[in-house]
Amino acid sequence: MNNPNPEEIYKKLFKRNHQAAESYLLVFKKLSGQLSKIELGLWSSITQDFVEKGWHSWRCALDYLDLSSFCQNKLGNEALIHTGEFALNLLELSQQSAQSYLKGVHIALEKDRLDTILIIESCGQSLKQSYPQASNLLTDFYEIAFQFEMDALNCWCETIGSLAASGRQAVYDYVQLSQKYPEVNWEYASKLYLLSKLLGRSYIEMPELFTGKLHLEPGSEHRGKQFRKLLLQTARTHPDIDWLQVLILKSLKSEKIHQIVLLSEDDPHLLLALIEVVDCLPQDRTDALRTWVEEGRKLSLQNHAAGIAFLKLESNQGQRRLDRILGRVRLSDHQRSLKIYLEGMSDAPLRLSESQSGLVYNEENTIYLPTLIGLYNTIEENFKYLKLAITHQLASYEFGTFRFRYLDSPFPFTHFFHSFNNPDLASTLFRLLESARLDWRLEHEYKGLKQLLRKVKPEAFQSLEFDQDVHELLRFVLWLTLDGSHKGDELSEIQKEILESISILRIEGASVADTAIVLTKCYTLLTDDLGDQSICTKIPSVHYRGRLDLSSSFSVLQFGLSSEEAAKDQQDAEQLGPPAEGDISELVQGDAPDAEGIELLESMTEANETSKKELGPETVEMEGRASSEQQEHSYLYDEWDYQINDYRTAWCTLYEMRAKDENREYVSKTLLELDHVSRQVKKQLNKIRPELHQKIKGLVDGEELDLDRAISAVIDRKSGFCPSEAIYVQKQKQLRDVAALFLLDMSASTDDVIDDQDSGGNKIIDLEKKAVILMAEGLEKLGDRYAICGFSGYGRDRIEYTVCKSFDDSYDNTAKARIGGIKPCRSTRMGPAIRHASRMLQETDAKVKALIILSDGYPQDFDYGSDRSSKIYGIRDTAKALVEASGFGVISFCLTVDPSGHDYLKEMCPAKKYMVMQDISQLPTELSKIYQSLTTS
Amino acid sequence: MLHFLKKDKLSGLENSLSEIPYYLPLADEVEIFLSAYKQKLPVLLKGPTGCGKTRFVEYMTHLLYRGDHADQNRKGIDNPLQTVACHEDLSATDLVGRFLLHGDETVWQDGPLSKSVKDGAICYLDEIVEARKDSTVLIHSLTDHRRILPVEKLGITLKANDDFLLVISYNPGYQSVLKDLKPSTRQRFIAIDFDYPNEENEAAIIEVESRVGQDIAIDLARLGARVRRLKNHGFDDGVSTRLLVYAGKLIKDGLSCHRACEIAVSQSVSDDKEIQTAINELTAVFFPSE
Ligand SMILES: Nc1ncnc2c1ncn2[C@@H]1O[C@H](COP(=O)(O)OP(=O)(O)OP(=O)(O)O)[C@@H](O)[C@H]1O
Ligand SMILES: [Mg+2]
Repeated sequence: MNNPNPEEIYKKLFKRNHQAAESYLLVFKKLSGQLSKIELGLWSSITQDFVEKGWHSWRCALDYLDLSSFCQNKLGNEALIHTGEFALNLLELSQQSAQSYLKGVHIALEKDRLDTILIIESCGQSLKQSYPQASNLLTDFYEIAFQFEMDALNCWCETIGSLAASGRQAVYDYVQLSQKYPEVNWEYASKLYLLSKLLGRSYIEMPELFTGKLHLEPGSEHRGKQFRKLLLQTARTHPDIDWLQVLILKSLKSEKIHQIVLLSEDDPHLLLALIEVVDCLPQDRTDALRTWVEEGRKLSLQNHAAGIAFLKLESNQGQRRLDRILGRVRLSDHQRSLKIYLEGMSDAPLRLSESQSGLVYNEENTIYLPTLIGLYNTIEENFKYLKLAITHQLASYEFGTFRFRYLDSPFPFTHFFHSFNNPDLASTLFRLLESARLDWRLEHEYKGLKQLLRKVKPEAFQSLEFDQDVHELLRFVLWLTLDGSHKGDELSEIQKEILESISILRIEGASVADTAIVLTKCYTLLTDDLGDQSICTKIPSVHYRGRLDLSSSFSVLQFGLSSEEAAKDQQDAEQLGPPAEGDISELVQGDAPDAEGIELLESMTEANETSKKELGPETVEMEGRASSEQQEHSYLYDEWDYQINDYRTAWCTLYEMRAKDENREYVSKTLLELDHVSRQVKKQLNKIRPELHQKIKGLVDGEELDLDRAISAVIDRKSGFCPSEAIYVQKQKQLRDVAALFLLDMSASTDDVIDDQDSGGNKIIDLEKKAVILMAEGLEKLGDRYAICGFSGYGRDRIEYTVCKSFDDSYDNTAKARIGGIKPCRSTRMGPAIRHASRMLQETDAKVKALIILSDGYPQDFDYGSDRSSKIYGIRDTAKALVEASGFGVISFCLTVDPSGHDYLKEMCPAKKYMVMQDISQLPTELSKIYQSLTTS
Repeated sequence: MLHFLKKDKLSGLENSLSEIPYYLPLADEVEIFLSAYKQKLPVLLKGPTGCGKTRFVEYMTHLLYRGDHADQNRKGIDNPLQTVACHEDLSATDLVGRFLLHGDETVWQDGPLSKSVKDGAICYLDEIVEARKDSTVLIHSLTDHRRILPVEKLGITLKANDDFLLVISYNPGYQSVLKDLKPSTRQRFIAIDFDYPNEENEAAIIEVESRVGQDIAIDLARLGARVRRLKNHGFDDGVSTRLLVYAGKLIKDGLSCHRACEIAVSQSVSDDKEIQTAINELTAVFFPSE
């Protein structure tokens, strides 16, 4: 290109746009000293190209001219030319993109972010290559890209680069979002954005996540947890993304927890495990946690999987150690001793159970307690607390809460409360005062409990959280019931009166009638001051006291009371003062058993509370089926993981259910078909019919002499030895006390037809069923107790245990139909089924407990251990379950029709306690033989 | 009151009976025993371990041979109470007597039963069911109208002294089916049923026997009653009065209540850790920790 002629170019430009032409001349003059002639020529022709490219493209020329001198000044001549050419290139696509680029460059120059320009250009370039038609995208891209500082820009562009692969829309959304939230922390946000793409979810609806402010804002805790969970999921599936962990760590709230988690920083697997449970760890016990994490780390050095399970709180050891270190108490660990304690304290037939809500309450002869108590730092304190909670529940029976009488009403509480204008307030006050009375009675009766109560009460008050609206006086009452101290001169007149009336309940021997009297007084005092309706009754409940269940059917029970006590109550009732509010003088107390039964009225007033009540523990009612027959009960079982050499706690959920499918003809058909076999089986079983008498030898006393022993005794004596005196024989009655459970494998594979010419086209499941039916027929004659159950399932969260006939069921048409209805289902997770069967057997209390398992292959499930293809996990757990069963006195036997059974049965079952059926048609007769050998010794 | 007198020397008492043993009557057992003695009716004492059967026999013996109901004749008897703790190896010989080698000679030695038959003492066979059947059969002729004891080895038959009385004891709680008394044996005795005293009486007994303060005695008795509710946990008899007295003694000697009950109650009645825990918790209900 030769020397440019500015005049000529000016003229050309002028034809298109005056402004551009003027500007050109001006800038030309400025630049002519700086650029070489060649460069000037290039620059001029670029400007000219701009103008001539399109109808409105002179605007680009203007933009270019605008920055030219500035650009030359800051970046030099070459850059000036380059910028122009780059913009020209964009102009091929669209005028807007070129313009937004040029404006961007201008900004960068102004803000002195010179080095960002190259990065943006190269990112934009590759975008353009990927999507040559995306002019709007590029326009937006250039518009926003130049806003960033270097660091943020790098992250941002990196994300664009990665997103480019997943589609134009992804990049477009991202760019849009970037425009919307300009103040975002890009380092965080860009990663997050990538993450959401990885997960196939969008966080665009969650701006607080996107902007990275999440962990700083109060109230976002829940989302924070959710988010963390998500991050963890991703981290597990994409172990290669190292920044994920950083991100997760960032989302942890407390600095202290952060430090704890960092203890395992050197091992990302441990780190992730720890982060996963971080929300269940007490944030204020860092020292204790440190010890625990250290233990987990040490363990991981010996056995990595075990270390992870430990820190994830999945292994038995991990949970136990944490409990121990934190001093927490798990109800299940102490349930038996607490139950025994309960028996000692009360004659009432009470049960203990776990409360899902963590609250203490009683219902239908069952005291519900939290599963885990960690209010204190030591096991001892927590255990005492648990004990106190039980004792308080008991106190209402021991100290006669349910002997309350009102006007001979069958629903005395309800009637009494409804005699007040505000029954809610009356009921609230009553519960409060009655709980207080019970505590004070306990203190009078039991010195040791007094000590405990005096310690716990003030602490309990401390931990209460009051609703704003709760009136000060009500708060005061609660305070008094927890032994709150008070200075006489600081109290108002009303407070003094309340204090005085409540003090009646502190007197030794105060009865429920006293509570009613005090309630009436307090009610009057409170409402005189405040009016009836305005009082908010939402007072917090004192945790160890739980909820006093006044509708309890338990109130029917009368026990543990001396007649003196009853007589005293009678007196109290007679002494009830003049009517104050309601007809309290008519309160009548007596000994007559309370016939409350199902209390309509009672349940009316407490309807809202009852609705909150949970279903019984571990009971899941199936939808649309109300009858108890159809209920599913769920049980949690530990599972043995050989890889970590420990149990995984509460790992499997087993649902016990009644067989749903029925086949009424199956049993009778089978019996017709297999008549001859049936007779064989019966004959076999007949052999074990007990001989009514059995001779027992070697007794010191008996009806007959045992000749052999007598002779040797004589010989002993003659030869100067001390003779044995056990020379008698006695006939003794032999009773059979046998319970047998047949456990049928209902896995999908039992649907296979047996390829054996004798099989008659039977499926494995049919053979199992038929064998069991013949056994049942025989056992009915023999009189042994037996149960028939099947198992299948899918994964550790759903093991289905189907009861066709329980020990208590009779072998009637329903039972037969259920057995007939057994069908192949899904997988074979044997361990939990064996554990559950063993539990059923233990409950029979029979002397001989036999478990007979019929299966068709090795235990198998999709989540049996980390390696799906390995059979070892299932086999080892099953073996463990069998060992546990034998620890409980259950003898087991595994029968399999799997020809390759020898391989694993040898490992799974104790020697001689398994059999591989070669000839499947022999199953029924073999089964009866096995039964015989198992149940007779 | 006579009953509340303190008995100091537990051991050696069977023989000397110099002091009146402490016994708190719980019902009409004293009167019944007195008239049984008068009518020469053999007595069976039924009841769980450590409820005071032995003590009762000692007390009655004192009453009849040294105390208010004694006559000159009986006061002259040196050993008015012959106690035999029966065990599996106890044979008829052990009760009746045997020849002993003495130099070249064999010398006959009376067993406790023949001795008391001769002397007119009370013979107390403790835990009779533990003994071998041949020894139970032995007492048949002694316990009906004949009141004779054949001594086979000597070839003689002893006629019981008028003052002689046979008393046996038996703990129905832990007998296996095998070791039940034969009806023919059982039905030769009148039976006095013993059980642990009620809280009030037991507290009185503990107080006197262990000399511990009344408050503590009362709480020990209440604890006892609670522990006895735990029957279904493998210790049929619950905790005995004897053990509660032991606990009282340990406390009197300065041991903490918790520790004393742990040693004398929870550890003694069961080896099951969880039961022990439960009992310790029951203890803690009554006794504050120090
Ligand atoms: N009624 C009572 N009066 C006084 N002391 C009693 C009474 N009952 C029990 N005791 C106390 O209990 C202790 C144990 O009683 P004793 O030895 O008589 O029991 P037992 O019934 O013979 O027991 P076992 O069957 O084990 O031989 C006595 O030493 C005494 O301290
Ligand atoms: Mg005795």
